[in-house]
Amino acid sequence: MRDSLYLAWQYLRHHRMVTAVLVASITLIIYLPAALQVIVNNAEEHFRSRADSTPLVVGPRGSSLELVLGSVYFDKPYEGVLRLEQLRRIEEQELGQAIPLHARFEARDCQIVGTTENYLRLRNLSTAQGRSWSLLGECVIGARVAEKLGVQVGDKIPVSTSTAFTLDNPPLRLHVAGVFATTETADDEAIFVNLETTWIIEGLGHGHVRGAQHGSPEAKLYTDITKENVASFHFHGNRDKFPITAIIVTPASDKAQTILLGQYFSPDETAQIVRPREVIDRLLERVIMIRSYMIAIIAVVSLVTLLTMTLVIVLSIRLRRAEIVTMSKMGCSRFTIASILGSQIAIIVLASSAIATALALLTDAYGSELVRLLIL
Amino acid sequence: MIELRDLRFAYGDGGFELQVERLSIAKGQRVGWIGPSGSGKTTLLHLVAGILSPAAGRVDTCGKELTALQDAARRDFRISNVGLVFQDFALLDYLSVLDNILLPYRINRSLRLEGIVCDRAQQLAEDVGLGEMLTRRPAKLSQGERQRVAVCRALVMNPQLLLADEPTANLDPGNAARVLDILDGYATKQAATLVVVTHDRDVLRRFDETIDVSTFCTSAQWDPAGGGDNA
Repeated sequence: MRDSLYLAWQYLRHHRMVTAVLVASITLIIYLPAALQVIVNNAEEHFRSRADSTPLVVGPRGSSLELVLGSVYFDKPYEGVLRLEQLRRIEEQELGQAIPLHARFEARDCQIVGTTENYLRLRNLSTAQGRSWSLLGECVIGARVAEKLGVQVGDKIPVSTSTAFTLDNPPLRLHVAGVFATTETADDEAIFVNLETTWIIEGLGHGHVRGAQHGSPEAKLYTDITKENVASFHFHGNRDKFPITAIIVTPASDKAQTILLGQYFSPDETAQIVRPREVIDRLLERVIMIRSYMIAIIAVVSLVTLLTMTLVIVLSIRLRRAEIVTMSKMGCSRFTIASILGSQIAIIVLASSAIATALALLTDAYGSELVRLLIL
Repeated sequence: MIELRDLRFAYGDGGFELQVERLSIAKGQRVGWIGPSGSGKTTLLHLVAGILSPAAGRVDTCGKELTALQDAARRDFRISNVGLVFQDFALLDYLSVLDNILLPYRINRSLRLEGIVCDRAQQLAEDVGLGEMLTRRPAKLSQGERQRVAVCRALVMNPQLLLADEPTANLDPGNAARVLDILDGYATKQAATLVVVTHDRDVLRRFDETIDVSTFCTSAQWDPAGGGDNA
């Protein structure tokens, strides 16, 4: 057996290119379904755990999936608008804790989320550096944002959303008050501010030289909110009509949840209430269906590849007929010849399996990272 | 050393038949087998080596009755006792010179590859002028060097019988003479029997005896003028 392995190894070494192609093909055949499984499992776990920690979400009528993705996973700025009075409505009923979210803007391609301290408690967010926001215009950034933008406590991040600004309303610069500890969730990718700051960004409030008339040259708007000028910031209009994008509701009881769910059934209702877990389960059903299709496609491709490889191996054996005849004449048995050829196939399959396993383990180790890169 | 009696062999298609009433070659004898293409030289060589089995008759080689042995026993006998040299060298392109010489030890478990064998293989390579080429692949060798590797491979297990099938057919006169010298030298030194199939009548003077194999061929289709299969 040792000699068969030796001869097989020498043959494979001599025909490096063919061997490399065969190993790469089998590695992919083994690795692709495994990687797909790992990534889908990680994505499922990631989506489900986040959804499970978000009991109910109230948002404008429309796509429940967009609402959940925009307000639970912060995948992109959410365009839907609710009025603050919706928050008051829930709070007044005392059916549970309601946390407003405003997630319509970005700063340097990172989502800005306006909310309250209750959100930080809901998600167990704690600062790794600095402190939470205390002033208008301050922000606390997720760990990945700090890494991605290379900013730290004390730095300023200009708000980059173009739609919210005019010449009269220049972009605000957010002061980084703190950096949250890593959570491996969507919170790592967001910039958190208090709700009022998002309204300033939206142009519903501003600060200028005290006493100056709006529109006069003296009423130049501040782009930085500081301890010195914060007192000059004020809002215009009815606060109940101020926009938010969603409300996360933690119902006080099952009964409270049932009541809340019932309140949004009316066709005249402008808001909807969703259970994120149900929305995500529906999404994942699709993902699992797509995975099944992909596995079927991979299976067909693998079968074709295996057939091609079988052809390559059969052809190579035919090409080696003279060599086999020589060995046979010298006194080599058919069993030994089969064991040499079998050893070659075994080495290729074992090498491919080892590489595929290593890749699958790497994929598993960096699964959540990959999910974030590929899916989120 | 070689004893054939009442031997009859025919290929399946019935187009070629060999009949040898009696053929004896003594130990240590050097014999040249001649005959035109298709007269059965290679076939007879394969019968003597036990690669082919006759339809009838008896083949004794190195004191063993090959016709009484099973395939596996014939293979074990052959690899231990018979050194084969082929016209086309039949080297394995993916093995080095040294590994090609040691090939018999890697393809049959009846031979054990030990340090002393490796030393012998290296010494053989040195003796035939391949000492500096042990790690080279056959593709990097000249025709003459390749045939010398093939000869070393045939000699490495110290066979009692050397069967060379037109070993000089693809070589220039200088290399041909060198290869025959090596075979001759080994046979003399080890008192081994040497059978060389050849078309070259100039080399016949080297042998103790010359046998015209075409006299054994009884095929009606065989053309003594030189046609027929390369049997």
